Amino acid sequence: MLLRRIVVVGVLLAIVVFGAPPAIRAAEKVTVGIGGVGLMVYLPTVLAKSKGYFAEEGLDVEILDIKGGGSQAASALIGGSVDFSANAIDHAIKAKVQKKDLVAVHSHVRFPVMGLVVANKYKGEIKSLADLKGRPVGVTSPGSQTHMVLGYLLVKNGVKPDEVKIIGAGGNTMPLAIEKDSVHAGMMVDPFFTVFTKQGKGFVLVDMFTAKGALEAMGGEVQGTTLLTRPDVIAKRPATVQKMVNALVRANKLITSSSGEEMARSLPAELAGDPKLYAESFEHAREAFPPDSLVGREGVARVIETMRVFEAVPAGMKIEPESVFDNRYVLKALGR
Amino acid sequence: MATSGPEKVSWVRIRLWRAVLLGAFLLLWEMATRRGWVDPFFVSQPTVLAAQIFDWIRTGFILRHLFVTMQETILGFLLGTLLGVAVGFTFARWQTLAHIFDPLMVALNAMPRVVLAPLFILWFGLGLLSKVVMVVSLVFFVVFFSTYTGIREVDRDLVNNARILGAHPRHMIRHVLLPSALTWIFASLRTSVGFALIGAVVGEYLGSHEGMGYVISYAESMFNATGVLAGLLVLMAAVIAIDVALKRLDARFSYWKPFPK
Repeated sequence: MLLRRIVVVGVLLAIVVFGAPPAIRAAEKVTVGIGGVGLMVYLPTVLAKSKGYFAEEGLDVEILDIKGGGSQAASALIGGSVDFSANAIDHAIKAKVQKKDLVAVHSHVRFPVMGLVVANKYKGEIKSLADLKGRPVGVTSPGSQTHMVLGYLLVKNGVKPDEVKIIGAGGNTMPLAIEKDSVHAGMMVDPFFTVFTKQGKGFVLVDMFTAKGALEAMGGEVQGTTLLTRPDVIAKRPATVQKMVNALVRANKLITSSSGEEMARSLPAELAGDPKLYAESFEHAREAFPPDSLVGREGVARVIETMRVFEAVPAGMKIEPESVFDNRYVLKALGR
Repeated sequence: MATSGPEKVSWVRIRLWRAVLLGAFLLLWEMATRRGWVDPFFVSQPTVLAAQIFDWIRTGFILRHLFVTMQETILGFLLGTLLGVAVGFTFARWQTLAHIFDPLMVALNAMPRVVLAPLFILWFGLGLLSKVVMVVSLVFFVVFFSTYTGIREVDRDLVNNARILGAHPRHMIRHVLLPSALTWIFASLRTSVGFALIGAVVGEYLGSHEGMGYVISYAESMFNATGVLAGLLVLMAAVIAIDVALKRLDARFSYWKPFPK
C-alpha cells in the first residue's frame, strides 16, 4: 500500500516537474502581456482592443497588465503564461543572448519615446550630458531600455557610464525621486514626462519622442515597442499571428491619421486620464508611431549597439538584427 | 536530553553523507540540464554557476556589491539589536509601560514590513539610509520580543537570592538579568541575521545603484538565471559566515552555563 502511494506521488511529482506546458487553449482566445497599459508606447495594442479591431478579426484578446514592467511581461511570454507581449525589442535581444528566441512581428513605435529630464535646481549646473558626471541619474529599472539608452547617450557624449550613478528609480516614481533630490536627473516616459515638464518642475535635456530628437541624440531610428511572440506560437498558430498583426496595422493607421483630441476620445476614460493632457502628450509623441508598422532593421541594429555599452550584449557576441523580427505579417496586412 | 538508543553520533559518517547528498544533487542538476530534461534558461547549471561566481570574485565585481549589502545589513542589524534590547529591557522592568504599548507593538509587528520598502525609499531616499531603516524595522521586533521574554523569565529564586545578598540594582542588571537573558537574545540574533539580509536586499532590489539586490535585479531583467542564482549563492555564503561568527560569540558569553551545548 505504502509503496503504491509512494509510486503515485512520485509520478505526480514527475509530471509537475517535467511535464509538458498546458495544451493550447480554445482556438481564438489570445493573451497579451503588457508592463503598464497606461504608457504611450503600448498605445497600438490598447487601442486595437478598445476599438474592437481584434474582435473584428475574430480574436478574443485579453490584455494582462503585468506589474513590474516590460521585463516581467517578457518573462511571462518566455515562460508561456501569455501568447504575445507588447514589449521593447530589447527583450527579444536579451532573450537571444540567453539563447531563447522571441520574434517581433509588429512595430508599435520606432523612436525611444523617452526623455532625460533634469531637476530645476540644477539648471545652472547641468547644461549637457557631460555635466552628469558624478551625479545620481534615474532610469526606470536596471537593465531596462531607459538604462541602455542612457548608457549610449553618455558614451556618445564622452562620459564613461560608470562615472554616473545610475539608479533604478521606477517609471511612475521617477517624478518623486527627482523632486526629493534622490536623483538629479531621470529618464522619463510618458505620461510622466509630459505631466512633470508641464508642471514646470524640471527641464528637458534630451527629447527622444520626435524624429528630430531621436536623430540628434541617437543618430537615427531606434526600434522601440513591438509585438513579441514565441516561435512555437508562430509555428502552431500562424493564422492567429496574422490576425493580431492585421488589427495592429489598422490601429497604427488610425493613430497616425488622428489628432490628439480624437485619440483621447477613442480610449476608455481610465486610460486617457485627463483628455487635454493626453492629447498634448500624444501630439508630442505622434511621430514615433510608424504609419507602415514595419520593424526597421536600422532601428534594431542601433538597439543592439546601445545594449553593448553595459555588455547586456556581450562584447564577442554577434547578433543579426534579422534574427529577432519578422515583417512578413505586416507586409501581408498592408497587401504588399 | 533523552538518549533512547546506544547509538553514538558519528560525525565522520554525517559529514560523508552530507557530501554525498550535495554531490548527487549537483550531479543530477548538471545532468538534467545537459541532457535537456530541464531548460538551463530557467535553472542555470552548476558548472556555469561556479564559473560565474569565480569570475565575479576574480574581477572583484562582486566584492564591491557584497560590501555595500553587508554594510547595510550589519549597520541595520546592530542598530536594530541595540534598540530591541534597550526597549525590551525597559519594558520588562517597567510593566506599566509594557502594558500601554503592548497593542502598538503587536500591531507593528503584524505589519508585513517588506511591503513598506517602496515607502521607505520615498521617505529616506535611494541611498544607504532607506536600507538601514528597512533592516532595523525587521530586526528590532525579533530582538525586542526575545529580550522582553528573556528578562521576564529569569529565575525568580536567583533574583531573590542576589537581592538578599545585597545586590545593587546596577549589579543586578550586570550580573543576573543580562547574562540570563543573553541566551534568549543570542537565539534571536541568529534568526534576525537572515531578516537583516532580506531587508537590505529587498531595499536594493527596489531602488539602488549598487549592492547584491541591484546585481540580482539586473540579472533578472536580463533573463539571466545564472546571475540571479549566483547572487543568491553569494548571499547564502555571507549569512552562513555571520551565523558561524555569532555561534562562536554565543559560546564565549555562555561559558558560565553548567551545561554548555
